[in-house]
This record gives sequence, C-alpha cells and structure tokens, in this order.
Amino acid sequence: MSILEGMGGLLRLVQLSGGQVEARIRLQKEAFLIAIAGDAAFNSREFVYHHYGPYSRSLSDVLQTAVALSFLEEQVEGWDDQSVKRYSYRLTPLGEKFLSQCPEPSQVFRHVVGVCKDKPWRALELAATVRFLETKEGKSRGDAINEALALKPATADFLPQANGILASL
Amino acid sequence: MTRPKFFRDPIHLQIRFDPFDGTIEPATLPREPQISWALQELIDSKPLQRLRAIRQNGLANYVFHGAEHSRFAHSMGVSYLARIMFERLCRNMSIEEVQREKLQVSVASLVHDVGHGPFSHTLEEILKEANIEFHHETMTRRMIEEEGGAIYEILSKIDDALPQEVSLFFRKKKPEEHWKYRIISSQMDADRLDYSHRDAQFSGIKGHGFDLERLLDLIFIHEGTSIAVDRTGLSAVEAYLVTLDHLWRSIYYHQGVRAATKMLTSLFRRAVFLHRDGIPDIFPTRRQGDFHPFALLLEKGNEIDLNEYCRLTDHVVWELLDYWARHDDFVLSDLSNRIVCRKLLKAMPVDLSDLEAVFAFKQKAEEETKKVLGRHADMQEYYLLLDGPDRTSYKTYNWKPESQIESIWLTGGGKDDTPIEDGEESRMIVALKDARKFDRYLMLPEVRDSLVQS
Repeated sequence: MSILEGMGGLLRLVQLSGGQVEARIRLQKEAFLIAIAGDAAFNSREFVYHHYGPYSRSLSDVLQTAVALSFLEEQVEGWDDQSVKRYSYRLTPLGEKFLSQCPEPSQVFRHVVGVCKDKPWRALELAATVRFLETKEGKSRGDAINEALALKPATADFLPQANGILASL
Repeated sequence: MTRPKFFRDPIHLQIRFDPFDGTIEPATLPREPQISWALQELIDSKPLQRLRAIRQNGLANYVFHGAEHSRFAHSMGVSYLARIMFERLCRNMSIEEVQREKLQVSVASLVHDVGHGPFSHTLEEILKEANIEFHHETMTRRMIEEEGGAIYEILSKIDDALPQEVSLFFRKKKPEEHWKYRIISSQMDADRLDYSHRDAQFSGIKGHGFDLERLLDLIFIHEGTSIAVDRTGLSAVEAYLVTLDHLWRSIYYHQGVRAATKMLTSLFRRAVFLHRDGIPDIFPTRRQGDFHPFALLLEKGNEIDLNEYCRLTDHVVWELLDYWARHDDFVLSDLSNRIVCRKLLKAMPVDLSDLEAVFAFKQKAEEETKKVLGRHADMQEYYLLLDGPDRTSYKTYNWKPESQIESIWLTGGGKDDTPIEDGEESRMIVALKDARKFDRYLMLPEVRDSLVQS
C-alpha cells in the first residue's frame, strides 16, 4: 500500500469515527476489519500477525506521513498500565481538504466503522485477531476465539463485546 | 580435535569458529563447541550455500555497482553480531549466559534469511497481487521444522526439541516473550546492525555510520523482553537511527534502484498474467514433464516443495529475462531488454498536498504513455507505476509502532525507561520522527520529459 493508496482510507476512518481516534491499535484493527469485509481501501494481505493481532507496517508509515503532513494531529492521551504513552489522532482541516477530493466511502466501510466506534480497543484487538485466525489460518470461529484468548489473556474480559463486533460484521 | 576456523569478512574482519572434538556425538559436545559444530554444519548445508546465489540488495547494483554482496555474507555477519549481542547483554545485566539460549540465538541468526527467494520483496509483491499466500518467513520456518530438510537434520543431531525452539524465533505468536528474540527481530537487531554497515560499505556510501562497539557495550534488557540502551550512549543511538534513515533514502528508496525493481515487478506481473491466461512456456522447462520453480510457486505458494523452492536463485531470474527478451509478447521482451540494458523508467514524486493535481497528473501521464507506446497503448499499466516507501526491502525505524516490545528503549540516567519514539531527549530523534515519506510515479523517459515541459 503506497502512501497515496492508504491515505484516503486512513483519514476517512478517522473522519467517520467522529474526527478523532484514540490509540494506534484501534486504527490498525479497524483497518483490518474493513479490509476483511471486502472494502478496497485497505488490503488484508498487507496485514501480518503482530503482538496485538493483525498489523500493517505500510499503514504505520501512512500514519506517520499523515501526521508529518498535518493531515492528522497527534496528541498524547496518557499512559497505559505499562507506563507507555497512548496517542490520539484528530483530523485537521488539511486532512478534511484531502478527503474532499477522495471518493465517498462505501457502505461496507461505513458499517464497519460504525460497528467499531466507541468499542474498547481491547475488544477490537480480540475481534480482529479472531478474524485474522479465521481468514489467514482457516480456523473455525470457536478455535479462533480459543487461540486468541490463549494468546491474549488480557482481552478475556472483553469477549462479550468482541463477540458483538463479530456478530455485526 | 578440529582446528579453529576463520572466515574473513569485509565488515567484521575475522569471524572465528571454535574447534570441537569431531569424534564426539554433537548431542554430547560441551555447549560452546556444540554451537561451533552446529554453525559450521549449517554453513556447509545447501540452504545456506544457496544464499551465495541470492544478492542481498536485489538490483541496487544498477546504481551502486559494488552492491553485489550476497545474503550468505550478510547471514555470516548477522550470526557473528548476534553472538556478541547475547554475550554483551548478559555481561551488562550481570546475568549468567544460558547456553541453550545462546545456541538458539546463534543458530536462528545464521539461518534467518534461508527462506528468502531471489529479489525477495519483488517476488512477494507479485505473489500478493496474484492472491497467493506466501511469505519468506514461512519458508524459513519450514526449512527449520520439516523432517528430511538439511537444517532440521543438523539441529536434530543435538536434540529433537531444538528445531522447534529455533523456529519459534520466526513466529509472531510465541508462548511467552523473551529478550533473546529481540536479537533476531527488533528495531536494533543483529540483522540491522550488520546490513547498515555492509550495505553502506559495498554501495560506496561514506559518511554514514555509528559506533557499533559503543552500542554493544551499552545495551541492556528492558523488563525481560526488549533491548535498551543506556542514556550515556544516546549519541550512538542517534547515529544509528540517522544511518538507517540515510541508507533508506540513499540506497533502498533511491529512484534508480526503485525503478529497476518496479520494472522487474511489472515484468513478472505480465508473465504471471500470461501464464494464468494459458499461454504456454512462459516459465519454460528443459525437460518434458518438468516444472519451472516459479510456476510451482504460483500454484503452491507457501506449500511449495522445499527442494523446488531452493532452485529459485538470482540465476533463474536472469535466465528468464534472457528467455523473455526474445519473446513474442511485447511487454515481456521490451521490459526484459530495458532491464538488461539498464534503460530505466524515470521518477516523479507525488505531492499529496494537492490531490486534484495528483489525479490530473496521473491522467496526463497515462495519455502520454499511450502515445509513446503507440499500437501497444493498451499495455500502459506496465509502464506507469506507482511506487511507495513501503515496498523497499528494508525500512527505517518505525516511529509509530503499535507495540513497543521491539522498540529501542532508553535506560539509566536516573530516569524511567522510555521507548525512543516516546521521548523527547534528543532533537535529532524528534526531527527523524517528523520525517516525511512520499510516493513516486515511475514512467517512460519520454513521458517524464513531456510532463516536465508542459
């Protein structure tokens, strides 16, 4: 995914999330779920399994460029339980201008963002990991959930919400 | 008792392997001689020897004519540095070396690239476009894990568990995290520490470099899982990060290197299309009933027979180019000849600050390309290519990682440990964090000249 190819999808994701997204993890997981749902804004083959589930280095580079070009404003939101900074990303007027020249998002894109909006990022992490294991490794839903929980015990409390996301997609 | 063996390396000068008693079963050798035995056996194995026929930097020699070093040479360097990193981390943390872990790290570092094919990232891009599941790390794991394979057989002579333990270094899903994995894969791993020196030297790039010895003397472990550098070594870290950034801009994302590489991608894209369209002998064989390894890779992806996969080296690619240069298909013959004769496409950057202008530019470029191609105008898609920074074989530091387990952490100085991308202790690092990357359009020279004039 080049910068040009990924920028529209990334900014649109932030826009449809209300103009601001907390956590890079959320961006990555929603982008993967959009790709898996069949929207061409993101390519599911760009995603590989990483520490928090499906992850795209290309998307990370697009994010860096978006911030460098002032399409997105990056802010420190606080510190998580590992004393690591968490960042939020807000769409700027320049980013809005870029989007005004992009095609309108598909129904699929809108639907996925709508489902994911306001869900805890841990639930997204779990749901995206389950879908990754299903689509990339051919696992059944049950096996994928079991494996995802084994890999990510910290997400166990968010299983009901993750199931809700999966049921809606 | 064998004699110590020495490999003369252009970067690390002398890589030494300890002697061992060749009359003793490998499983019962003391640990250090056992490591030496394992590495020497692996070096002599087919999977490692094959890497002599795969260039480290693909077509970078089209711009930097000295950049012809092999993945074999790089693998030797990585193994050398990995052992040093392991020893220094244990020393600096005042922890005892666990010899089993040292064996795992030594082996994993040596074999880390065995799964690569020729022009590896080009190959993976083509297979991805063709919806074929393939990744070189999957091939690496298979070469380590599969019974009957040379690497598996060597490691099994030590014990049955070792192949799986080494394979785990190449799995993202691990039962638990450990700092030893960071020596093989992280933002300051042995891989980066080697190629940042090797690629610069062979490309003739002077003036970029960092104090490797200082870094190695100041590395520590953060919370058992990540690499950290003492803050007194901040300048060495800065120099390392600047080197990575400069190498990326100078070599890996050089417009000529990218033009040659994208042309090769375009050529193989055409070949795959024709092959799948049923055109015979796009991937020719010498004997009836035989299959070309590329054709097998297209069919099987990750599941390709390992012996067939190991046939894929740079030689096979160049042989295909020679064959296609005389093919009836215009794109196959034209692009092959352009690559062989170094008649490269030309680059123009994409400025995202005005998207409408980008779309207008692309449309104009398409029209001009069709004019130049004449009766082959419908082949325009193979001659107007969008290239992005994500396509390079090596990347800069990831300043926006999702997880910081692979980040470089700063430690000491009376402050909390901080991942380098979160701190603002260095103006240089703050500047690197704001670095912009940009796409390019690659096009025929006549098209570029026409667009520049208009």
